[in-house]
Amino acid sequence: MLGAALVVLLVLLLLSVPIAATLVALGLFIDQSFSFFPLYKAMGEVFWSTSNSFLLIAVPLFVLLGEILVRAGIAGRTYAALDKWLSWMPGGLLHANIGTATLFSATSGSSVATAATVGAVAMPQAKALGYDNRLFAGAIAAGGTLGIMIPPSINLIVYGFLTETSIPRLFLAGLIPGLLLAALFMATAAGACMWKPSLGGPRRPAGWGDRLRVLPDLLPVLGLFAVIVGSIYAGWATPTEAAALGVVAALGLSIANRSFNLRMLKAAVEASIKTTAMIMLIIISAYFLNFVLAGAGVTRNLQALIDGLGFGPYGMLACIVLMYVILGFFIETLSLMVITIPIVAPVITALGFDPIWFGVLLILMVEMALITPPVGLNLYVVQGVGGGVSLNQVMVGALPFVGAMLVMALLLVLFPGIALFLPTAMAG
Amino acid sequence: ADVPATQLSFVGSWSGLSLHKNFEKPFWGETLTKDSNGAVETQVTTFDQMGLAGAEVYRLLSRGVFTIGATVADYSIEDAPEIEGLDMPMIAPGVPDAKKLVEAYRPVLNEAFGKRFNAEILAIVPYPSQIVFCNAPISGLSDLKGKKVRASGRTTAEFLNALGAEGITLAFSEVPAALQRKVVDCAVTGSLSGYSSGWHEVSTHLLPMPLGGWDYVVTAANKDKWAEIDPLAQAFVTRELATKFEAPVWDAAMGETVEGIACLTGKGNCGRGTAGKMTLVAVTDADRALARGILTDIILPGWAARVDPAVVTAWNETAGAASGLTAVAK
Amino acid sequence: MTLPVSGTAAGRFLDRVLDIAATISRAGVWACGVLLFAAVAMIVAEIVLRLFGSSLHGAHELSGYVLAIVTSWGLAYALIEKAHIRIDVIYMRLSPRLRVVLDVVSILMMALFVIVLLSQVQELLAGTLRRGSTANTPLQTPLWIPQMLWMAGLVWFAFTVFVIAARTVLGAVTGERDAVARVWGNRSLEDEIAENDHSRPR
Ligand code: NA
Ligand code: NA
Repeated sequence: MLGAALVVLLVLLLLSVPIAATLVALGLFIDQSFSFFPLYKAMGEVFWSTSNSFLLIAVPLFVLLGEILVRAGIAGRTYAALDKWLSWMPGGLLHANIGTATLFSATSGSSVATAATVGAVAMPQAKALGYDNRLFAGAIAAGGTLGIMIPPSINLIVYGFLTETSIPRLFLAGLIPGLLLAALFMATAAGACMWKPSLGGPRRPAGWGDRLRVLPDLLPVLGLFAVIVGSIYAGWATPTEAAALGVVAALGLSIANRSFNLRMLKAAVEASIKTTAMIMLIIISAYFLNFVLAGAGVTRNLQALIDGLGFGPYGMLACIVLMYVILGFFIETLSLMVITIPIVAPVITALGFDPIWFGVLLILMVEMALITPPVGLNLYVVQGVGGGVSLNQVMVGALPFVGAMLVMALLLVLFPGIALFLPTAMAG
Repeated sequence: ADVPATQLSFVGSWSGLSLHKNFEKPFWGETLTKDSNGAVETQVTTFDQMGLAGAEVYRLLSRGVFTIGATVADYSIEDAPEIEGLDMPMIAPGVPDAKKLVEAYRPVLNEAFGKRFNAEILAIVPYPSQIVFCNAPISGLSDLKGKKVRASGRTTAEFLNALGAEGITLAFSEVPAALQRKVVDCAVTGSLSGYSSGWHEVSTHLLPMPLGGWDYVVTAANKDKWAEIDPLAQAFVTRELATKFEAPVWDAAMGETVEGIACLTGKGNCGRGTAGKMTLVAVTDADRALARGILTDIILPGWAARVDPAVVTAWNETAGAASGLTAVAK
Repeated sequence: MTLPVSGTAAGRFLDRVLDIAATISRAGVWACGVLLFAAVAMIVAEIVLRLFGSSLHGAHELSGYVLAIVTSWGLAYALIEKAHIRIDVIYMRLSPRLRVVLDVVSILMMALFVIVLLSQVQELLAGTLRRGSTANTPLQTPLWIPQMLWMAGLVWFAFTVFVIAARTVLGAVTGERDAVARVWGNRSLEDEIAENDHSRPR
């Protein structure tokens, strides 16, 4: 039954059927073939109750926020400023790409939005300055994934939602691993370019005068981070509500920047509703598939299978990580989370792992899925913003960063404190 | 007589809570099969594992998506206002009162389930009573005035308004952090689930009044699917449910409330880990009178105005008689 | 500007319908934008009021409805803009003729999807109306109102899927590969289309 389901999934995906329709078709197939009950009749209910969930309104709001920042020119200035600060390292602008992605991750809840934001301002530079397309685009795709590790994060909200784990504590837990991963990305880029300078482009040293002069350009994004994350920890807003504050703050920044006008607002709205509809349809369809999997007993079988493996905690953990790496090749990330968390989270907790810590490890796996082919949203986004890079080039360029993520996963398992230090310290 | 071979699918309540782990899962997963010598085969899952929010369970049941389903009845008030008559803030302060009310009202509710969901009620059990956790010093019910209280459900919100408190809606998982940072001052949940979610670490005072009622879980079967089952098997399942599910859950509701309070306050026996140090606020006669007053003057008349007059009459004859209250539409 | 030279009368008619659908979808998106900002305003008002110990009852509930409506009304626009993600690993390696086959298969799957979805959503709405369901909140919102608005977006999405499906199948039958690529070809083809598609004024 699992095999048949997997085959149907792969065939439909490879036939280029849209992901949402694939997930629903798979659900209907499992329902017809293996379920004693007419599970398809639940479709209306599942679609409605997932569509009108308050927590998920964070999705359109974070996307909208990113769109406003790009169109207000704030993204461009931030990139230019970080260029002055970071591009002296081997690999040059690659570090500005990663740094900008890191900074925008602190204001965006979505990796796709982060990659789109950074890609839009950075990709045109690759050609203009003679950089190798591959690593340049790969750094943006990989850096963009930090959007869901560094708070705020839609995926951490979904994880907290599904596992009944505290979302503010999850946010705290993601901060240090996110920054560490950014550092690993930069080390990867520097290492690759020291080994083979042609992979990057010219280093771009800047004087301290220049650096200090552009410092104010970093203030808008830092201010936005303060508003969003600060309002959560000051006890004013829940993580979902903070997204609304972020939109208002971004609008305020664009007005202060004199880039606010109706045309810009319309374009931002069109782009964000397009993305929202696309993401939401996939989330909702994944919920329906999840419902069918549970109703037809697949979930139970899978759980029994996992329980029956009888590996020790770390053996199990290795299996689960491997499973995420493999599923991550094919499955879109939010669906990946929605489908697997109800199965995996109870197993992990039963093995004695901390659910907050596992949330961070899971996000890392999801980040990896975003940049591994064939299904990797960030790869598509970076290719989609233009700049004449092919999908193949982005895929190849992102590969070294997958290596960095595996190192990060190992660090997280060896030193759980990387994730748990902040939530523990703040709770004490 | 031997039970004929029967297949049942059951969708239970929250998989993480003790009602499912300690009662639903063993009963539907093992007891039925064992007691029927393998004749009854079951398939058990829960609505949260299916990715549902809980309010859809009876609606899906009505469409025959599964045979038997259980959910927190309050979640379905939007489809059947009769359910509100089962559970109101402070209507049944103790387990015996609650049991009496449920037994009296069950036929009325069963009729409503038949009409609204094409379903038949098989069992009604309570969660441990839904009491008040505050991260602010309080000495009684009236001190909730001016406080921000996280609560779910319409009647609880009305009750809080009448007290002069502010009802706040928040996801369960957001409550501990919200209490800690005083986004809310107080929140309502079962004593043991509050303990296992660590609420005692972020709140100081505990008021053991069932402000959120009992959060009954009603188990019901789709009428058509149920009718397809052999009468002998029906009788077997019904009998087993009454003796090996309903009765033990009611007994445990009492025990869990007491143990939960012990674990939260450190007064009494807590066999579940390190006890907390919350202050247990004594419930006074004045508190009870205040609650009773709000119930009779505001909650009941409001509800009576929302539902069919025939339901109000039926309620007065059953639940009302059992609890010494009369509902009159305002 | 020239009118399409290739293609049948039916094809031209469908192209025209699609143009109109695109315009209406865009207008729907702007309306959704207004709703989204209204949700932002409500949530921010709720945060501010809560600081003063008060509350805007229903901000969360209404925002939930906004999300549902914004999603359903955004679907058609996303479809026309080819934002619904399709895996192109095999697709891009195929000849144009085989690509058309995949396009037909995938749009028919979409059509099947919306048919099942609409029939089930219609059942949901019928149940809501029959039971007179209202939200279990202080607002007591009659649920048919948000559900109706939500479903209307889905109906519009379904209509758009059907038009694109009709155009794709027609194009496949009459051999207008450019037209198929234009209305439903994978997004990755966009650049190629821009260079090669002469079947359509841009
Ligand atoms: Na983020
Ligand atoms: Na992937």
